[in-house]
Amino acid sequence: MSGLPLSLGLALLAAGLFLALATGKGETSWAGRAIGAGWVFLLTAIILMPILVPKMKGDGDGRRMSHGRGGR
Amino acid sequence: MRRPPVSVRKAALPIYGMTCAACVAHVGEALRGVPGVQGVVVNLASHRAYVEYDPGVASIRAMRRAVEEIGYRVGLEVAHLRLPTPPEKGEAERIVDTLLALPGVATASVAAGSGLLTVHFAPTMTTLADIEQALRGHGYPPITAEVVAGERGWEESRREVRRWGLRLLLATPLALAVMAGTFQPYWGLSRVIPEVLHHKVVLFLLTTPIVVGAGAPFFLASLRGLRRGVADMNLLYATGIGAAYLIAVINTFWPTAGFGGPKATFYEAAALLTWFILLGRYLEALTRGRASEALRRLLTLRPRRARVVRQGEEVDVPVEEVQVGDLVVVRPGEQVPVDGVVVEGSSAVDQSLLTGESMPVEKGPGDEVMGGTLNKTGSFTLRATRVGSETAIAQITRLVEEAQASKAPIQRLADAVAGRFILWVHGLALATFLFWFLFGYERWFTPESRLMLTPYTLTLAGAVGFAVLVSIAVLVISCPCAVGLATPAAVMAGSGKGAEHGILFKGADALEAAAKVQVVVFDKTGTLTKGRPEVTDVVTAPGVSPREAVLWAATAEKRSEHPLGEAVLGRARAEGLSPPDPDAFQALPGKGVEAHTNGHTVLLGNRRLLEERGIPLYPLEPQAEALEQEGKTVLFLAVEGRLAALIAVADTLRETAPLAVRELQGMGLRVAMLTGDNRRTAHAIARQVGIEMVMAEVLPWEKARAVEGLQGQGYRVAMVGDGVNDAPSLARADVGIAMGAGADVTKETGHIILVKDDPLDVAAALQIARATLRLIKQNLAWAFGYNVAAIPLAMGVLYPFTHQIVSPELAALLMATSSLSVTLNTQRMRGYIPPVRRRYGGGALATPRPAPATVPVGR
Repeated sequence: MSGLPLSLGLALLAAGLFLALATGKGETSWAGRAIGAGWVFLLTAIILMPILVPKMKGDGDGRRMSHGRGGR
Repeated sequence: MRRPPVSVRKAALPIYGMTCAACVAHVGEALRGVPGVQGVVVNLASHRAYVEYDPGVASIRAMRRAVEEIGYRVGLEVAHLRLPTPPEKGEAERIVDTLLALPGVATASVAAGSGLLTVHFAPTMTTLADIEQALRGHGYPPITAEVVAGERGWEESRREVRRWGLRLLLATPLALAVMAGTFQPYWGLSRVIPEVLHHKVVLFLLTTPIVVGAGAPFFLASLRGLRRGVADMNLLYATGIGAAYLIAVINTFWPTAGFGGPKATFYEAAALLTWFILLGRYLEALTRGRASEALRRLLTLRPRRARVVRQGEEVDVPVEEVQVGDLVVVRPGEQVPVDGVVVEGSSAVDQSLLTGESMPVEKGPGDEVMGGTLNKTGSFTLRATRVGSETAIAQITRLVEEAQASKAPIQRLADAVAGRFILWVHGLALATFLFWFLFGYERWFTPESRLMLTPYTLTLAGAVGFAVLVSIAVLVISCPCAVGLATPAAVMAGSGKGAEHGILFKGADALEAAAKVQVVVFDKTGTLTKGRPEVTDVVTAPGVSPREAVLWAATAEKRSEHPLGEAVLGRARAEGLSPPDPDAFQALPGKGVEAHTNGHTVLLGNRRLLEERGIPLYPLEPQAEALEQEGKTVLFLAVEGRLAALIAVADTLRETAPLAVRELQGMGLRVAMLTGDNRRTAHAIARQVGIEMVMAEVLPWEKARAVEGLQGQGYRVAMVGDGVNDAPSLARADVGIAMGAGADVTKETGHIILVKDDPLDVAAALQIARATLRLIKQNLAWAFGYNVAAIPLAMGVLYPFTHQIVSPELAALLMATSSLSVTLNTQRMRGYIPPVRRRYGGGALATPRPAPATVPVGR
């Protein structure tokens, strides 16, 4: 899996958790819940992407290299 | 200072689109990821990536791809050259291969039918002249070349200033209108501002062009970055501005959504936030542009044309066509086109832009002149000695450029912090949001809550709205946008200031190290003295005539390159003697010379040499002591194992040496003198210049050890030498200062090169270095200070007591203040004059100097 979908997936998960938490906490305004969830999604994605995208890319490169050596 | 191994090539790539320390980190990472790249330093202020790479593995093309993949541009020039005849396919391929082998060429292609050659190249590494030269190698005569798109760092800086200035110009009236509209009902403004301006939809219409027009680059750049997994300052701006704008739009069209209600529209927050960030960017671009002014002056100083004498006639040619050995005519008011030696005529030449000397210098036959200097009064003809990239001005430009592109150790720490700062800030904003949503709001929120510096109460703010507002303030206030600029701008200003005074720092680490020096050691000859000794006395033993003694001595010294030998040969010439070549010659470093001529063994050197050979000195001992008491160096001449004569030689003390020593001592530095002279004469000279710490009888190879000794005592040592026999000690010292480099600046060993041979420049160099380090520290304090102090405030630490939170516009104001402080602080360096230059002037002295005195000369 590449870093971008993974980051977005995890950010979506965090937003979902927030939504559940906000609903459980009694936040009644739909706009409040939606914007809160959106804000959590955005911040989480921003934090995760620069960490996961290069990391997964680097791992991918490493795998390709080892395959190349194995082939010879 | 590390030097790359021979197989490593250096590249200085112009990189555009970098705006902050995070960008610097990203570009650095991308370049380090290119196979074959061994070292990378990226400099935000000079728009340069300085790369060390293995040319067999890495290529400019690969580096360019890596940089462009993460959204930045490599500033390559495009040259279109028309070949006189379209080459055959095989020849075209060979031309392309030749050009690709040039260090800075990224791509080259030849259009088959037209013979049009297109070359993308890094102007910092390869010049158009290099490309033309390579084509000549293929048998193509000089052809017209046109550089279609050139991007020099300073040109890009100017464009950048204009771009941000235009955006600021667009945003300013709109932001003022938004402010006026927002505060229309307050402070009696309703009498002068029409009510319609306060209408939410009007505010929406006024703010939207600011956010999506002037502020568009932040959103576009952060989107591009995120797609590649890169977080930079743009992201902070975009989330801050975007969230404030979104809340304003929600409160305009859905006022019951819980973000402060219909009255809290925050349009002024989004507008001012954008405006302050634009102002910060504009100021940063301005600082970058101004800091590289010294370099720009040097580049514009480069001569374009020369008047060369060809077959007895003066021909006006491009300066690239001047060859070593050509005779070049320079008329009054013209720039000297290349380095050379005057062969005919004389004139006063203004060298101020290269050496910092305020007065023009008289030049006549035999004198060296430097390309780029200005001929003031008379006409003269010079014989070219250095052309193209070998000229002094080209070397100085390269040194200044390299120094400005390098990174001070203090900056590496700042970059490491700033590179990860964006993520921490977003993490902090998320934590702040969750804290206030989950706990804080319920526990401390009151309907009377206010945003600082705004008329709003947050009566209708829900938990989410309140928590979002607080976390936006954290995002905006934490932005360390000035950090990336703080150190490089100061280094550029400092190295540029040095160049103005003829002081060249070979890198930011040299600047930083020079600022921390505690002891300055002068290698006496050539620094405190002029290094041009003359014979003052010849005292002979019975049966030897003075003329005979001088002839023996001159024969022994004929193959010597030591200044003492020059003095003896000078005396022989003055007496009309022609010394023969010795049959055998051996230099005995630190002692003298031994030669064989006509079957005789001749020794000429110091007391130690003769004592080692067991030759008695007593016949002339009283005279030798008397000469030494007068501060002269005594050479003992022995022929066939018997003392034949004493030859006294004295050097002249530089008139500014005592002033320089006093200045350095006034700076709290310890000043030491290192010399091969005996203790008595060494102390006599030291007394004349005011030095107390003397290291005498030091042999050339012991100089580095003497420096080490001082370092062993815990001192940070600067060693000042004139470059002769000094390389090891200059390299060993924490800072090596090579004095009197003249036109040949890059051949000098040392971390600091002084173009002139004035010891006052040693003090000036250290004063500039100290001022620069002070500037770096102040800039970092300004850049980080606001953020560190304001983050807890933005997180709402005081809210439970004050019921006020930081408004996004206040956060933006604090952030812009940080940029403004760095900008203004760096600008102070423009007017900086080293105190020693204020006291004693540049070339012409403002205060009377002592008369020169003679001093002994050591081996």
